[in-house]
Amino acid sequence: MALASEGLQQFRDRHQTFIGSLYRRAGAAEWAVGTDVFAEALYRSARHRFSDAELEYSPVESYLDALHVEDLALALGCQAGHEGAWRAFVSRYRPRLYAAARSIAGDQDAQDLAGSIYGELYGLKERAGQRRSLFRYYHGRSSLPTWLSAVLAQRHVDGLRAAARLEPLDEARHEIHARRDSDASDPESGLVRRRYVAILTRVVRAALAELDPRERLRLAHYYLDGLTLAQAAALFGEHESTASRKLERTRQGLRARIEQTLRDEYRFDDGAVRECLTVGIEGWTMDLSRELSQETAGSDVQ
Amino acid sequence: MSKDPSIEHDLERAIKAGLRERSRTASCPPMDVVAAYCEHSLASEELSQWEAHFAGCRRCQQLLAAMARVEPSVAPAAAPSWWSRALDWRWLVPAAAAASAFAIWIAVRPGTRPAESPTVIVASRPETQAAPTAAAQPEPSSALRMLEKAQEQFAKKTEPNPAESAQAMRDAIDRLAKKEAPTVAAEAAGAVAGKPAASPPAPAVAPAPRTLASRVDAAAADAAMGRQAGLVVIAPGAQVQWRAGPGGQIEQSRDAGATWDAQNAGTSEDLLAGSAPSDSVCWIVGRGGTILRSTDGRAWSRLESPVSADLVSVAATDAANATIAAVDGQRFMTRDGGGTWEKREH
Ligand SMILES: [Zn+2]
Repeated sequence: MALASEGLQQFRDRHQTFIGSLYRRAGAAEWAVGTDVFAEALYRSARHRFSDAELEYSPVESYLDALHVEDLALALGCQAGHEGAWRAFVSRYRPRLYAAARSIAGDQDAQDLAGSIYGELYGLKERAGQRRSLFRYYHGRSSLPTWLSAVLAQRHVDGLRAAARLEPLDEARHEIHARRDSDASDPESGLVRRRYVAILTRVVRAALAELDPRERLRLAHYYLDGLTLAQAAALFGEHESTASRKLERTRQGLRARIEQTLRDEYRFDDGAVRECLTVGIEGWTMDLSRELSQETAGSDVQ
Repeated sequence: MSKDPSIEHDLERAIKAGLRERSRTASCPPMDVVAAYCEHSLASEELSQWEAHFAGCRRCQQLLAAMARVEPSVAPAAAPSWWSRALDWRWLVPAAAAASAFAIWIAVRPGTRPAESPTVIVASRPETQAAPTAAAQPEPSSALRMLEKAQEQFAKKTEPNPAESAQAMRDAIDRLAKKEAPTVAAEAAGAVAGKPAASPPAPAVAPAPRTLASRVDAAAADAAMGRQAGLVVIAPGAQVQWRAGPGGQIEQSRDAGATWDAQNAGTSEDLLAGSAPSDSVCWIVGRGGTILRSTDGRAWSRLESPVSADLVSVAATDAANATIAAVDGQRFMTRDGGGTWEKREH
C-alpha cells in the first residue's frame, strides 16, 4: 500500500503538466471528479499496462494521450454516484448498451443481459458499506461502449459455456459407450481406429501449430464461430477481399500439409489416407465432445 | 496432392476438430484489453501476445465472435470496423451492367454523438443511363480519390495518424453520399469501364429518388435501433421491395416498406446483394456462391452457381438475364435463368 501510493506520487510528479492537460480535456470537473481521483485513475490504467520498471522508461505519456479520457472521467463520475454523470451516461450509452445486448444475446435474452450489467455498473453490490461499481475495471483503453460490449459478450459467452457443460455430457457418454461396445465386439477394428485417431490428431495438431497465430484465429472465426467474412475482416481491421484471400490460402495450405504428412511420414497411399481421415475423424470428434463438455469456465472481468 | 472431394471434405473436418481441441493456455485477458483489441488500439507487442492467446483459446474466440456481431452502431467510432462495412464496394451495385433495380444500403455511422444521422448509400444504375466507353473515361471525383487513398492507407496500416485518416474517410463518405453524389455516379461508372477485371466492382452512387426518402428514414431508424442493417432491393415502382440479410433472411413488402412478410429463402447463407427487375422477379446472391431467384415474387429457388466464392453483386434485367460478381472480381453472365453461366472478362 505504501509502495503503491509512493508510485502514485512519483507518477504525478513526473507527469504533472500532462495530467493537468488531460484532466481539462476529459471535462472531469463537470462530474465533480477531483484531480486526485483522476490522476489515480490514470495511474491505475498505466499500471495495468506497464510493469514498474517500464513505468519509468516507457513512453507513458503517449499511452495516456491515447486513452479515452472523456469516457474515463464519466465512468469515474458514475462510480462516485454523481447524478449528472449518471444522467449523461444513461442518455449517451444506455441505448447502445441495449442494442449491443440484442446483437450478442438476441431479442429474447437481451433485456436480462443488459439489465444485469446495468445493476453492476450502478454498484448494487455493496462491500463494506461501499458501492462497488463495475466501472472500476474500465481504464479508458477503449471507448466506453466497446468496453461495455466486451463485458456483455463475456457474460453471454460464459453463460453459454456453462450451459453447454451440463448438456452434451449425456450424449457424449452415449457415444463413448457405443464405441466401447463396438470396440469390444471387434478388438482389431478398435485397435485400427485408435491408431488412426492418434495419427490424425498428431498430424493436424502439428500443422495447426505451425500456423501464425492470426491465421489460426482466422480459421476459428471461420470454422467454429461462423462469422461472416465482413465480421472477421473487421476484427482484424482488414479489407474483406484481403481476409477472403488469406483465409482461402490458409485453408488450402493446411489441407495440403496434412495430406502430405500422411503420405510422406506415414507412407499412406490414397486408400490409407482416405481411411485414416474417415475413421480418425469419427473417433476424434467423439473424444472432443467429451472433452469439451468437461471444460471449465473462464475468469472474471478484471 | 489428390483432388478427391471426399478427402478434401475429411481434411476440412480434421482441421475443425483440431481447432476445437481444448487449449491449456494462460489466463484470458481482461475485458478492457479485449475492447482495445476490437478497436485496434493495442500496442504491437501486446497485440501479438494476445492474438497468440486468442488463437488457442475457445472462450476468447467465442467472445470475439460475439463482439464481431455487435452492430456497427455500437462499435467504436474511429476503428475501421464500421467503415469496412459501410464502404466496402460490395455494398454497392456494380455500375457496369444495366439494371433497372435500386439497391439501398444503410449503414449507421457510429459517431461519438449518438444522435448523428446515418450514412445512406444509394447505388443505382438506371437503364436509361448509357454506359460510358473507356475512351471517354472522366477523372474520378476528388471525393472518390480521397476515399481510395484513405482505403489504401488503412489497408497498408502504415498510416501515422489513424484518427486523421478515419476523419478523411468520413469526410469522403459524406461527400460521396450527399454533395457529390450525382456527379460521382457518372464518374464511377466511367472509371469502372477502364479498370481491369480483377478489381472489385466499382461503386455507382446516386441520390435516392424523393419517393424513397421516407423508406430510407424508416430503415435508418430500424438500424439505429440496433437492428441488422441490411440489403433492401426495390423493384421499379418502389411498391414491392425485399430486404435480405444474414443467415438467409428474406422479407418482402408489397406496400413500399410499410409492412413486411418473411419469406422462405431455403438457405442459411448470408445474403449480400440483390436486383429486382420487376415486381415478381428478384435475384439475390450471397455467401458461398449462393444464388437465389424468385419469379413469382414469393417462392425462392436456389440456382446452380459457377463459383463457390462469396457473391457480392448481381444485376438482372429479367428472369433470364443476369450478371453476378464474386468477391475475387470474377464475373459471370447468364441468359437462361441460371441454367448456364458464361465467364465475363470485363
Ligand atoms: Zn482466453
